[in-house]
Amino acid sequence: MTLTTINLAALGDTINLSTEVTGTLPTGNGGTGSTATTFVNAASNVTGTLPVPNGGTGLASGTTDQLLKFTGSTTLASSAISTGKIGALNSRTRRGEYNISGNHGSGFVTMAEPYVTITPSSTSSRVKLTFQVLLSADGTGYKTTDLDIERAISGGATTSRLAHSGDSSSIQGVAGRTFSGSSAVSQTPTTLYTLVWIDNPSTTSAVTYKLMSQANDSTNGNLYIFNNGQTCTFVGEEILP
Amino acid sequence: MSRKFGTALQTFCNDNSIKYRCLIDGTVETEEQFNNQIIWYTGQADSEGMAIVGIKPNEITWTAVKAEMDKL
Repeated sequence: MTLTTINLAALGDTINLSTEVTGTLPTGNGGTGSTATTFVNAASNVTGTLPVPNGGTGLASGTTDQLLKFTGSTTLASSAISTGKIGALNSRTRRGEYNISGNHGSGFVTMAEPYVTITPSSTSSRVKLTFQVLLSADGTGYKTTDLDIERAISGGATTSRLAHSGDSSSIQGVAGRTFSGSSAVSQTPTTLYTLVWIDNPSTTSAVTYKLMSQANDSTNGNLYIFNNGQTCTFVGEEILP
Repeated sequence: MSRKFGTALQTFCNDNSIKYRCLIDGTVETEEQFNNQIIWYTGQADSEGMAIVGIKPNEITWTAVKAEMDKL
């Protein structure tokens, strides 16, 4: 007969497991078959990968500088998706108006302030420009205002009227406003415009952006850009590739 | 902050006897600002659509503009 149990209680005795038992209990008998206190060494005792449904990644390796991305509901993989992260950031403010005044002619003029300078870290970087512009006018007659941007690359080319240079039909630039005065020295309400432009300067040299404006008027008057009592902000951000 | 300068300047072209185009940077309340904060243009644009820098009309002087400003 095979001995499978010992009824110590019936024998009126005890066994001290710490001092009176030696050897190991095989795994087939519910033991570990080992005297080690680390029962699973993940580095040496585990092979393969833990699947996503089991809380793993299903991956044994990834691609340097890439991100982990779900490519399926239970699949992860390295991904080279663009982050659109912001690189260089520069801003400048302007309080104090410009006045394009007169009764004669047209043509874009460049305003010295505010300007922003961005030095892209890559030729593939884009530059996002955000600028607030306050506009008002006085005088008489029909009047239009056009806005555009000047880009000057340090040691390189200066491009006037960026919007027009990219699309020759954009003769009025990136934005504009039409005023229609009816009496002399009639002041139009000051209106705030927030404009956005994305540029691809394709350089790692410093790039300086300035605002340009043109006033076309059929009669005399003043076009006011910005304002003496309010601050406008011009922001340049490098968008990394 | 006054817009008197721009308003006074208009009086010089109300009858179109004087033609001008200029860019005024900020408030002009002194002769020094009059001399340094204004860019005068010819009224013509170049082939790129840029205003061509010119010279101030002789009739428009600080004394004359200031006199108009004082009337406002």
